[in-house]
Parts: sequence; C-alpha cells; structure tokens
Amino acid sequence: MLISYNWLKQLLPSLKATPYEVKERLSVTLAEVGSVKKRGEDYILEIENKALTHRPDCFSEYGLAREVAAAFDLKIDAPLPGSNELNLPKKKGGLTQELKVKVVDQTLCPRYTAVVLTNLKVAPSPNWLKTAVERLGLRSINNVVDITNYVMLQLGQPLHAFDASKLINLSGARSKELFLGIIVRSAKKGERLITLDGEERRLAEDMLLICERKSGKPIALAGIMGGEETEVDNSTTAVVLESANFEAFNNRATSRQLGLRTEASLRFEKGLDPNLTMLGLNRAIELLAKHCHGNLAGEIVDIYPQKAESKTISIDCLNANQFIGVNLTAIEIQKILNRLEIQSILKPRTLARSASTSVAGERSSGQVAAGSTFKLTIPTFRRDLNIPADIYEEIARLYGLNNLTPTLPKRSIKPAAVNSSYSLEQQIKYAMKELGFTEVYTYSFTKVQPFSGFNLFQGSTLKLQNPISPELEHLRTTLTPSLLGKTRENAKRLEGFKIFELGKVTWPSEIRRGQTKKSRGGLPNEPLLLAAVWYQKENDYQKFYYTAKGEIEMLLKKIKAKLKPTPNNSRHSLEAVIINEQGSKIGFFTAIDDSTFAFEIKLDSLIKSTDPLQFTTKFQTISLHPPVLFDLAVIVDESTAVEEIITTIQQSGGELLVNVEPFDLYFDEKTLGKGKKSIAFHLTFQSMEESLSEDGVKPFFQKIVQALKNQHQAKIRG
Amino acid sequence: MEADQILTLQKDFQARIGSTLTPRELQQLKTELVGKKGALTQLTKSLSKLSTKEKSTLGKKINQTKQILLGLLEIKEQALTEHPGLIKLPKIDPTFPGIKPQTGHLHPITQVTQRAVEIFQKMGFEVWQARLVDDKYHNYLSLNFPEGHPAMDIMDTLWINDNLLPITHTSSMQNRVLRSKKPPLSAIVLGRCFRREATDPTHEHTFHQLEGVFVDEKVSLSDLIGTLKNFLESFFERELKIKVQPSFFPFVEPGIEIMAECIFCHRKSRQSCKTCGGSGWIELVPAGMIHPNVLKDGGVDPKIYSGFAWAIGLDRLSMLTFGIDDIRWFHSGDLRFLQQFVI
Repeated sequence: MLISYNWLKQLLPSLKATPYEVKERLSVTLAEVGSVKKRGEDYILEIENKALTHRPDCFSEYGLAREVAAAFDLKIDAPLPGSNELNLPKKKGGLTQELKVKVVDQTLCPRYTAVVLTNLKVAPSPNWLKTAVERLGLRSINNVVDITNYVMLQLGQPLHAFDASKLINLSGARSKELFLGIIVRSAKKGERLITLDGEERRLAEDMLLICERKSGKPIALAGIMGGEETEVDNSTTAVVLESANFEAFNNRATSRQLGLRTEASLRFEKGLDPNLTMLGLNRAIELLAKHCHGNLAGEIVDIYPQKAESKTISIDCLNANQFIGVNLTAIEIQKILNRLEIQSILKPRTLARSASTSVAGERSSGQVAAGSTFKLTIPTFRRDLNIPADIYEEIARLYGLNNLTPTLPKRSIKPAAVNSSYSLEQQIKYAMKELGFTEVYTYSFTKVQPFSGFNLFQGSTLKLQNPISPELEHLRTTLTPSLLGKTRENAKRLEGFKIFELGKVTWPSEIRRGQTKKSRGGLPNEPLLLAAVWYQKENDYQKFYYTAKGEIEMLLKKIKAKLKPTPNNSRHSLEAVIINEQGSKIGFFTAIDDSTFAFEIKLDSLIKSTDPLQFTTKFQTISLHPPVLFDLAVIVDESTAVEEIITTIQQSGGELLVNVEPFDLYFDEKTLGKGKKSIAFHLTFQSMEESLSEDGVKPFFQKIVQALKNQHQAKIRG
Repeated sequence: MEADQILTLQKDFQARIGSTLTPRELQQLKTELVGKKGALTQLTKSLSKLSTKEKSTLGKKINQTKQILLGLLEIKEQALTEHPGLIKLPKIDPTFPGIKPQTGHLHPITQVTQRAVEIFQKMGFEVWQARLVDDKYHNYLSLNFPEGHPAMDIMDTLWINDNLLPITHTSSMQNRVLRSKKPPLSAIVLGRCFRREATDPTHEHTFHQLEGVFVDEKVSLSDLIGTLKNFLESFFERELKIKVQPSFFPFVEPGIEIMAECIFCHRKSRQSCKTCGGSGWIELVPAGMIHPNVLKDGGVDPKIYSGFAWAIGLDRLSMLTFGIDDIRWFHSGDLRFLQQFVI
C-alpha cells in the first residue's frame, strides 16, 4: 500500500511529524513502513501489502490516515469523502431507463449498490487526477475510469463503470422497450467471458458473475475485473456505476483459480465493510458530476438485505493488563480505545466487588480494579476486531510495544524432559567430527536417481505437485546420492575428504490391505538416516579400505551396531551390511569406485527412551600380573572369514586368553598357494590371580593350534 | 611393592637416559634415581615393611637395577662429554608450520542450533523436532488459517497433494506441543522448512527454524519480549537494544517482530552497514501471543491460560553469527565453505 504524505496533511492539518517521523511511528504502531520516497512536492510512504493482510480497512489512504491519526493522537478534520449529502441538479435528456438489479446469491454479494449516470463526457483525465492515480501506482486511462480508481485508492471501495448503452444492447430488446438490468449470480459450467485485459476466461461453477439481466450474459467477474463488451470508451455517454460488496473467500478462490489478481480483488479478498459501498458511490457520483458533467438518471439502487451492524466486545481491564504486562487504569485504556474510534462503556461493577474501589480510586492508586469491565462498540470498518485478544493488541500497540518492560515468566525449576533423538543426533555428529568428517547439508528434494542394490528403502517416492524445478521434484528416500553429488563437486578441487549428513528422509507408508490412509494418519514415515562418504583420489587401496572400515567400526561400536561383511569380495563390489544389536539390517557400507566408499545407517532403532548421553561404560578390572604374549600365523582358504578364525581361537584358548588381535594379512600365490591367505595374530594370556609363565601357557596355545587345524584346515607358519 | 614395579622403573629410566641430550639433564636424572628422594632410594626404604624372604628377593632386584642404570648413566655421561656430536637428530626449522591434523567440521547451522538449544535448555525448554512432511491441519488449519483464507498466501507452499506438504514453518508442531500435556508448557521445536521460492543471496527454498512455545497462567506480552531479549543477549553475549514492531501472523494475537540493534554497526556508522542496510536494526524473531483459537484447537483453555510463541530463522542467525553473505552456501556442500567453521 502506498500513501501520499500531502494527502495525509490535508486530512490531518495538525500533523506536525515529517514523512520520516510518520514512517518511524507507523512502523511501531501498525506495520513496518518499508520506504519513504520523494515524488515531486510529495512523499510516498510504502507498506508491504502482506503486512496488512488482516487490515482490509487500511487498503486505502483514508484508512491509513485513520491509523496515523490514532498513532499521533490527532483527529481527522476533513469530513469523510462521500459522507456529505448529494445535491445534484437533475438535467434533462440522455438515458432515463430505470436500473433493475437482482442479486441471486446474497451470501456471495451481501450488498449491491449502483446508479446510472448520463450525459458523461469521457476524456483524458485532468492533470490533478492523473497525478493522483499515478502517484499511487495505477495507470491513467480516462476521466471516468480514473475517478473510480481514485475513489478506491482514497476509500478502499472498488467501483466499476459499465457502459450503459452497451449493456442495453446486450439485453437484445427492441428499441421500443429498452431494458437496463443486472443480475448477480454464480457462473454455470462452460461459461466464458472476455475480460478487460482481452483474455478469454473459462469460468468455473461458483465463480461470482455480474450479468446482463435479460440475456444472462456475463459482463464482469464480480469484484475482480469487468468484461470487454461493456467497457467504457471515448464514445460512452452513460454508465452503470457499481459499488458492491463481495464475499472474501469466494473472491479469492476465483482470482486464484484464474490467476487474475487486481486492485479490486486485492481488497475484496480481505473482506470489506459493506457499509463502505454507499460512501464510495456517493464520492464517485460527486466527482463524475464535477469533472465529467455526469448527472443522475434515476435513484440509487441499494440491495442490502442484512445490514452489517457494529459488534460489541466486552473486556476485563485486569485481564487486559495481565495479558499485556502493564498496569493501566480504566481511564487510560478508554483513552487509547477512543483514538481508534472504539466506543467504550464501563459496566457497573457487580455487587460482590469491593465498594471501596472506584474509577477515581483507580486513578489515584494507579491500579486497575478487578472486575472493571468495558463494553466496547467496534466500528464496522474494523472487521478484524472480534475477540478480547484483538482489543488487547490495539491497547498494546497504541500504548507502545516499546514502552513495555521486558519481564521473564515465573516458572518452576523442574528440569525439562530430555529428547533422546536430539541428543543421539548430536552425539553422532560429534562422533563423526572426531573421526574427521565434515558435515554437509543437502536438499530434501531430488530428481529420482537409479540407486539400486544398497538403498535401504525399496518403495516409491513422494512427489511434489508444484516443484521448484524438475531436479527438486521428489522427496528423497536416501541421503547417499546427494552426498555422492557433493563428492563429485568437491573432487574437482580436492584430493581427498570425508563428508557426512544426518537427517530425516521420507518413506511413503505402504497402505496394507484393510488399512486406509486415515487409519495411518496419512503421514509418511520419516526415518532418521546417517550417511557418509570417503573420497581419496590417489590411494593405497588396502590402507584406504581398512582405514575407512576402522572408522566406521569405531562409530558402530558407539551405537552398539556392527558390520557384517562377506569375505572374498571383489574390489568393485565390496559391500557389507550393518546390523544392530538384535541382528536386523540397518545399513550398508560399500565401495562406490576406486576412490570412494560410502555408508548409510538408519538410526531410528537406536533411539531409546533414555538419555543416550548418560554414562553406560562399566569399568573392567585390570590385572596387575604380567601378560604372556604369543604370535601365531596361519594359512587358510581365502574364503575363511577372519572373524571365524578369531572365534575358533577364543573358544579353544581357555579363560586365560584375554585378547586376540589380527595384525598381518597377505595373499601370495607363490608362497601360500592358490586361493590361500596368511593371517597373523597377537595372542595375550593373562591371569587376574598370578603371574603366568610361557611354559604354563604352552598347552593352551597347542589347543588353539589343534582347533585351527581341525576346523579351518589351517597350516601353522613358523 | 612388586618385582613388576622395579621393572617398570628400570624401563622408564632406560628410555629417559637414552633420550637425554645434555650432561645437566643427565645429572638431574641421577638425582631423581638415587638422590635423597630418588625413586630407587624410596624403593629401598620401603623394603623395611616386608618379610625377610621378600626383602632378600626384592632387595636383590633393586640392587641389580641400580647397577644397570648407574652403568648406563656413566656411559652416556662419557659419551656426551667426549663426543658432543655423537647424538645426531635431524634438523628442525621451528618456524616451519606444523602438520595439520585432519579434523572434522560441523555445519555452521548445526553449530548455531546447538548453541541456541543449549541456552533454551538452560531456560527449561523441552526440545522437540518437527516432521518434514505434515498435513494441512497441522501446518495451517490448527493455526487459525481458515480454509481459503488469504493469509495462506503469506507462505508459498509446496504441495504433495491436497493434504500433505513439506512444512512451511515449525509451527506445524504447535498443536501437538499444546496437546502433549497440561500447562505449564515450554518447548522449542527444531525443523527444516520449505517454501516455493526462487533462491538468491537472501532467499532459500529450504531453511531451518527454531520455534518456541510457552504456555502458563498469566503469561504476558512483556514476558515474551523479556524471554527473547534474554535469549538474544545470552546468544550474542552482550547487552542488546531491542525494538518491537507489530506484525501479522494468523496464529498469534498480537503478532510482533523483535528486532535487535545491529550487532555489526551498533547503530553507529549505519549508512555503510551491509547487514542492517543502514536501518541500525535487524529483524530477528517473529513472535506473538498464541491466538485463543490455536490454544482451543490444542486443547488448552484460553480463559485460564495464555502463552507465546516465536520462530527464529537459524540460517539467518548463522549468517549473522559468522558474517556469511549468501544463504546459498549452506546447502552448497562446498568444503571451501564448510571447513572454515572450526570449533
């Protein structure tokens, strides 16, 4: 919304504030004023329309002037335009047809006010009018159209002028019985209308139309745009001037459906005061008579079956004070409300209240008495004021939001409940950081990518109806593809790095037989995933693999999960499954190419009701006796998993075997034979009670050797 | 005392003798070993508490160790005095930079979120997390956005179908928070939000919010202002001037915008300030008193309780904290950006 400072001064001659001071004040009492721009001798203040969504009365200069007056505690001196008695001489000649209006749908059109004006001279607008509409952002068309727009800018009531002769022609009646009539009704399926912008609009049912009464031909989209067929042009001499009120939701739905937003719909869709139509019409008649030689041809038609009355709201002063956090007396509250043209009557206090308090007493003590209740009468232009909280806002903003003393709520010191999911996320993020990974955020939307094999989710994706771009059409079900995308980009610049992302993805819930969307709430599952990528352009492949594996194992240990690799993988299909404590699959670890590894885990099953940050470590007693160490190297089939060998060693080694650590692995056909591998282990024997000797441990060692030979056909080296 | 202990002591001194590079250090080591309070001297003293049998075995061991170590000391002393160039170490240029360890980095928004969450947790707020996809009821209808209301245009929504959408704000959880238990209620909600917006240096279709909800008896607008002023001062670790402007959101009444003095120009030298654009103020927190209809929909009686809610844009807070000039860096995944943020 734009507002002219000069016009403000006309309405408020006592306004002393500069345009910049008005900007500052309105910004803290109404809504942020974005800018002040000098335009010739005038200054134009701008408030974003969005910020006034709730204030349809402020989509006019007069409405904003009212707010300026309230903000500076001034009175508007000039009479409300259009509120003075019309006193126009009836001229002879011209059109004399009586206008007949019928409103079919009165909920969608609560008031229809119109009049016929004749003897008009359509011409380019005089300079003052041209400037007046242009300074507020509209295009000047001709004097008649500009006057309707000018009135809309001043008062906020959109008007429309139909060429009366064209309307009569549409009725199809013979010249003997000229007919001038309008019907307001909803569109029928398949109807069409060419609007003023030259577009042919296909109309849908429920769209409200203004039509020629006899033929039923649409002549305007109600409250949005007129039709081309009845457009006012240079040859127009008579018009039907419409000043109506249309229901907001229907207006908005129609304008959205057609993708047609106009100055009129901008106002109607917010919900206008029906009492405004007459003001707007009067003002326009006055101006058309003065500047276009128009005169009235008949009475004003006003179809207004259910008059909008002033609302009343009761507020309790104590509640108001408590809600805002101030200590205003009833009189101070009353004064503030007066500035907003809200009438207030202090209700007599109930007998139960102490008789010793009175309004006078309040004034002297500065305290408002409990039970002081105001009955308020709300002007009809304030359609946004409906409940006490709305009034509290009015009091607070005019008292001054910045005059409030910041306080803190009084509350119990009981510690807040822990969110174990949030804590786990942070714990894992720190663990990843410790391992040298950098956290990455990528979009939740993707283009669908073929990502078979290790995707944790096999179903289809959810799709957006109105995506920002085709690349951002699907809600992702996995994080890895996004991470691999970022890997490719960073690989252009870096030799090696490690990145991770932790976040929710969207898995559409499958609807099983007997289940309806409703019974599941219709909401998709949103598992929490962790994914990471290792990238190393030039690498020692074995070292690269075992380092990555060591890191993921370190992480998995923290979350009590483990890797379940399959032995003897070929280089390009290195892949392991990640399982949780219960043994179910929760993720994968895989080679992507020679220089990239990736893993992805679903963390949901790890979120317990207890705080994941609590201490779970249990101390292990350390033996004070020296250990006895043995090294053991075995040759086994390549397909034998190291884990199996370790298990055999542990099972056969007896209680004193406290640690088994594999340390040297190699494949060499010449020395070991085809399909064989050699693995060495450090074995540690230790007792809690006594110092062991090598000889004492030998028998256990022999048992291990025997078991390895029996179970794995192992050859013992050295 | 154990034989073990003697062995450890021996190993330790052997190593230290080996690494000693000056005669003075060597002398010091000798004192530490056999001086009045030396380690071996102490061991010998403690023998008196033991049985005769133990005394003799351990005594012998101590003696052995002493001979070995003194011998080593002597040899090293000789070597150092006679051949100062005997011990060769590679040359070091201490002015050459150290090798950078490979460290990890948390995303700047994560860092800022953690800091904000920590402050609110200290203030007694429970942490909640928003869904990514929610229904129209939770994102709009339960928040006093009547169906077809123009207020819905405030947020450009991405739709999955007539009912489901990626959330446009973390207020999508407000109804669930209100229903979670009887007031007093205090919770913050973290979430990733989405709007159908073209990206530019200050706009992103994907962004992060920290929503707050506080409900109790007699909660006031002044409490809301005080709570957020305290949070902001705690976050930026300084006293901040606050400005409050009226604002409109359907789910609050009244709605306000809390602005803080620009933390870069402090309302001085404003013209040139890129952050506040010369106004001296930065919009930080849209907030308001929860609308009675929203309380009612959440099963809270607005006659008894009142409350406030707010939403902090974590992306913006992060930009302010680190002086980031383009919001698009956050989802770029560019390590040149991400690896700048070390804690």
